[in-house]
Amino acid sequence: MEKPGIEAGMAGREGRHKFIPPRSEALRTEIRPVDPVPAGLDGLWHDCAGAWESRRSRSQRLWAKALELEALCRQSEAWHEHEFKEAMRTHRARIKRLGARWGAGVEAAMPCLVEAARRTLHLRAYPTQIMGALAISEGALVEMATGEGKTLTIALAAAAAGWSGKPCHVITANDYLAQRDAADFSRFYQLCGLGVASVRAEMTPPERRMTYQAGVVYCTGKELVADYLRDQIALGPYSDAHRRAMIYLLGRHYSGQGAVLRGLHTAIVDEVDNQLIDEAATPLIISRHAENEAMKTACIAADRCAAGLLPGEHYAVNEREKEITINEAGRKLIAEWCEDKTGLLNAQDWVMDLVQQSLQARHFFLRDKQYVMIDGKVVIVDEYTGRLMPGRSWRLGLHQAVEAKEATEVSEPSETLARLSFQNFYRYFNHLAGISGTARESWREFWRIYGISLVEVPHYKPNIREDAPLRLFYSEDAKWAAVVEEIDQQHRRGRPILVGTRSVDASERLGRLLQGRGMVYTILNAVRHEQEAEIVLRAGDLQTITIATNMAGRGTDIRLGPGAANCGGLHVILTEGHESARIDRQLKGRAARQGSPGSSVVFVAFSDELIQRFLGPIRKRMLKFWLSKRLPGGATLLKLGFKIAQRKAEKKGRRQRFMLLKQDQDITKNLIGAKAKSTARSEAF
Amino acid sequence: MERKLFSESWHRVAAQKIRLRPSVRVRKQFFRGELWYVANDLYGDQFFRFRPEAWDFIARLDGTQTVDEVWQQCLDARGGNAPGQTEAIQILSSLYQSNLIVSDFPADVAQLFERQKKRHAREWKARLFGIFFLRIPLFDPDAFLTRTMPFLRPLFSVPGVLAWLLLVGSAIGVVVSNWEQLFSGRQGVLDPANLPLLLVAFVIAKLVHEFGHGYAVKRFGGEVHVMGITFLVFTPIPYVDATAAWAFRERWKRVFVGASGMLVELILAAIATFIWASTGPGLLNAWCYNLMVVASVSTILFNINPLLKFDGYYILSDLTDTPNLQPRGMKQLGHWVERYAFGGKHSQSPATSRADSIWLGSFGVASWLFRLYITYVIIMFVADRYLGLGFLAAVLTIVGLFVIPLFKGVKFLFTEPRIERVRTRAYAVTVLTLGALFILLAVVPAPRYFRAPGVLFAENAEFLTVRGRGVVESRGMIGQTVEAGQVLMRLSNPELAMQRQRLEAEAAELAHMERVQLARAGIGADVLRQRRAALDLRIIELQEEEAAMEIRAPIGGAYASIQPAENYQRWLARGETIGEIVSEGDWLFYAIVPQKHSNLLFNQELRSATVRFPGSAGALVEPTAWSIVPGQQEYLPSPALGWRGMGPVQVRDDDPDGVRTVEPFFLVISKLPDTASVLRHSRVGVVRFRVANEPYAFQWYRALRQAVQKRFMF
Repeated sequence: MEKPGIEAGMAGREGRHKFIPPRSEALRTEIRPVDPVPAGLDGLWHDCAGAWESRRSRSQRLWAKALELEALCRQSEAWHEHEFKEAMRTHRARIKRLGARWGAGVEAAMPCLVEAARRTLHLRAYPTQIMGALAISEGALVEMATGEGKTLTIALAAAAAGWSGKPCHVITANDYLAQRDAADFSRFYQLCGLGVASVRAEMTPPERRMTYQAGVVYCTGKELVADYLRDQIALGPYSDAHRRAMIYLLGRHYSGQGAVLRGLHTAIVDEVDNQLIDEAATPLIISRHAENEAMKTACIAADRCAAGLLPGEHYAVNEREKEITINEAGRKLIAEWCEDKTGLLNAQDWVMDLVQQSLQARHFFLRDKQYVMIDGKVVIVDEYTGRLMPGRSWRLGLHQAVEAKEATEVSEPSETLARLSFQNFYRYFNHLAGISGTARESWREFWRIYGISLVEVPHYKPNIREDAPLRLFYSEDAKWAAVVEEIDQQHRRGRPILVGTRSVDASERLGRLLQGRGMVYTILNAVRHEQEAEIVLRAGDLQTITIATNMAGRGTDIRLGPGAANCGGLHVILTEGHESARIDRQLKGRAARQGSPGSSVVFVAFSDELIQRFLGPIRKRMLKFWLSKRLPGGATLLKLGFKIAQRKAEKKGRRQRFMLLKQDQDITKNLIGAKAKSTARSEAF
Repeated sequence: MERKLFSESWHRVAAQKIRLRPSVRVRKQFFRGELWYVANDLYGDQFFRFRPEAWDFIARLDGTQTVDEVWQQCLDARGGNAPGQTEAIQILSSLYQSNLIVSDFPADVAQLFERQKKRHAREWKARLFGIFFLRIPLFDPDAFLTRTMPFLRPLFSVPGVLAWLLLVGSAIGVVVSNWEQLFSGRQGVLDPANLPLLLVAFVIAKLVHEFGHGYAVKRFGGEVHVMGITFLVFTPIPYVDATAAWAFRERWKRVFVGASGMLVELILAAIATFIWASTGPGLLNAWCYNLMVVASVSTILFNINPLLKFDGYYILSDLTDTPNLQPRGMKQLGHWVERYAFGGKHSQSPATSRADSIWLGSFGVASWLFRLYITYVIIMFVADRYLGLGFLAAVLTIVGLFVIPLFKGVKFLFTEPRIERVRTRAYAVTVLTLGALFILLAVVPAPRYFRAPGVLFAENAEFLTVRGRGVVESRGMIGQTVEAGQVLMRLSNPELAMQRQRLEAEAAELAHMERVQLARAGIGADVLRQRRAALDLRIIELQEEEAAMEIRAPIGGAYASIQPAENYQRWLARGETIGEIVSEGDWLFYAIVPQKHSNLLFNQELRSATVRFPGSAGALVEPTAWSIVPGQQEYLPSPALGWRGMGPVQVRDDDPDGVRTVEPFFLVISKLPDTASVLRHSRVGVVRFRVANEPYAFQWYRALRQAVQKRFMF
């Protein structure tokens, strides 16, 4: 049934392109026009519409429907094989006819899909899962607690999307999950008459092309965006589907190498807040290493020059905005330094720029926090997941500056070939839906940027997690001592403990402290990540202490080991607040999954980076005064300060993401060769 | 400004092969001694100017090399002066926005349409909110101008200029020699009967004016493609689009184009002057007179003002080498606020130097204030004339002038990324400023006054009336202080004495005849006696009259004589007033309080008052007491207060004395101390009453409400 669209069209040498009606190809690969993000009064109106869309009655309606459908599903369990096949054929044909509006046919097809899952996987969908699948088919932002079977929920909706004949991508948090889910559900999809495949990082382009032909494709966001951008580069000026169609009609052929994707239509994003918010802070860049000796020497020289400048005297450091401002004295020094140089280094303006970058590298890009050194190479650590990102590099010049600072060999600067923000990319989909355990906090942003509204799916089993009140401290030392004490106490009860830290540094420090108390623990961080799966698997066992840098978004459930539930389940300790309350909740959500017992506690100190960076200077000083004088009500104030800092951090992140999107759109609007409707189609030369 | 060598968006342009459109012409121009390159697309009528460094980059873009290659060359050649990647992208994007470049990469057609749509929307918005300056383009006059140019070319040459000087010079000569006549006909201009003539003269003058611009542009090689009608406060006036002048390299040419409209109009005025001076009164004469005034005085007064976007503005911006003067002035103001009030470091001044920034800023302030003022005037004018439509237009203009900028300001404050770092300070400054303004205007009670015109009378004053008849003999006295009974003037009337003598003789005769009659038995003596008695009476009268030949002061005081010099040797009839004697004593100021202040007058305590008299600036007189005459008045205490007496109060046309007012008023009589030297009997002045303090906002609101009430009769 599946016609290899783009590939066939471009594989002209095989002569197959004549059989492909160009219009259908154009239609399938066409990217939908992206409306600008509503702003001003429009934005206000849009927000109102969002509030209406996310109203409770919608969730209630879906829930009622899900309960009804569940009853129907029970009846269909008695279907004979041919009855079942017949029903499936009917619904499949109907959804195929619906095409882009496949969501309209899901409700009727639901008993069929649920039955298919039951027959192949022996999983009987809960009403919550049915409700989730319905919400996905309506293109919603679904909040569904961890461990309530999100994977099946997605599969139910994805199969229907696959039936529509439009490309359907299920976006997972990592390759491992993509592979696992695709394998777990392959029999289900097979019964539904659909191909399923997963994309892995190491795949070659022909392999990828094959993979993307499948009816439902499991992949990570990064792989998908990267493939999309590479396609754009490969297609060049013919990235526009209509232009391609025109070329076919003219009977001519262009020298494109061929795209691997067969279009973008439906995307179902797992851990959607992580993918569309946390990851969306940095755009994806396709680059290649280009020889640029002059650049390399300039970066090294600028680093030497920067080493001669003193903070406070020659430049000011703004910790909050992560910004360096070189003052008059610094400028003079740089000007003098430039005088006897030649070439690029003689141009004061450029040296200033490079020196500034070097200073930034010195102050804000710290070893074991933003990056680690492995074999004399700088390897970036992902700020949200704490994972190593080998092969990734910072923007032009900055990466070189960090390398120069570490006195390691400066790598060739990379040349950007294409760049696209995730926000823009996800806006290209006709049908976008997301699912996450923690979506509620950011539903406004989702609505504003992606136009998807929130549907909260109730818990299948009631959540009995106990969230202890915030533990507040003035100094960091006191906090760590209390953390160790807490671990000790809970450990004695035999509970499995998960400790979240924010940096590699902190995790190692806590490790040393625990070692001092003679406790056995496991550390999971950017440096020690080899046995990740194994560590996670055992993290729920009795008396296990796991210290992990940001676990959020890993999509891994910690299942309780035997007997652990009787001790009170998993205890999650957050040693610091994150820059978003959502991530805190995500981490807390590792405990007490699927109605099992569990608890969580958050430790906050005044000297935490979050408070230091985001609380305004005046508030900070007042709070410090209050706390150091041990005046009454200090704890309440610190708690308030923590909340304010967190809210400010959230706001800053939100603004940053808006800016990135706007920047993307502005560039598109202002530069020749860029598309109004789809920014990325002209990412390539 | 921080310059960045690398840009993250460089890949979007790096591989493109770009060149300027073939239709783009680039010229060197000097602005304030600095070299700039001005690019102009002949088809799109788009202008763009850039610095030599930028031009170096653009000039290298020839469509065969990629942008990246060209940029590398620039960097090699110019080092630190070459544009960085960020700047290069900015340049390219502005050029693209102005449709001045083409690339080997396909441009997005949808984008182009989008841009056009946006431009149209913007134009419509500008039209709507600038409805008092509505422009409607009608046709393309270029072909016509080209064809007729040969006939007019001599005008734009050295002999042409000389001829112009001669013509206008001699016209001025004619005007000077007919100065008196010129002003005697002055009222004719505004006479309703002349209005149609005035309109025709106006239309002709403006057509000539606009064609003047058009031909001037043509003369220097530009093209003029749009001609249309501006509805200036609903008055249609033709206009031409002379933007092609921006591309002229020499400044004087641009200035000349700006001034050419007025210069050509002056020719018309000169011709009209000659005809006017050489014809007798009649239709042609009157018409030429109108044309002369319209094409010279009014056009210059109207156009020379640089604060509105007419000729003067363009001339000024060319003279000072600051294109887009007004927007840049406003931008400068914005920059000051952002930079100094908000502490934003990323704001960029549109000025190139300190002096430039002061110039731009002060122009910004002036033009903004003037626009506020002119809008106020226009709205008031329109509100009078065109009630419904004018009201709508006024609302639109207010929205355009206040509401939209306010909205933009708020948006800027909340969302502008440039002030992200200093937003807290920006909020604080804005709130504090608004708060201070609010307190100043709406909370702090401000002194409150109202004014009323009035006339000053001395309490003890007597007019000097002639009771005798005769020729004035003495030259009289002026302004002297006199005592009661002092002789002020002597009249001589010899006839009077002779008449008296004749009557005395007659009386003597009658007495004689009476005696004769008595001697003859007395019949008829009675009649004679009675006649004599009558004669005696008459004689006494004459004697009294003779005595009245000496005019004496009835009371002591200052003597004010009317026309003392002219009265000398003049015949004065009985009853004529020759002067007034104002004796020492109290002065009373009769103030005419209009009805709009009646509320203040009766409901508020009048705290203090000051009286001033025009012509005696600085001299204030404070009344010692005042009383309000209860009940409305309709007759002015002095005709000098009415319109007929050139006073401020409107009086009825049908009142020959000019004292009956159109609107009833209240009379307040204040007593002035006799200390100031400015006090003169019958002098017209203004009294300012102070009432209880009230914040300005309330005062203005009341004033506005009264104005609206008065104009719209709500």
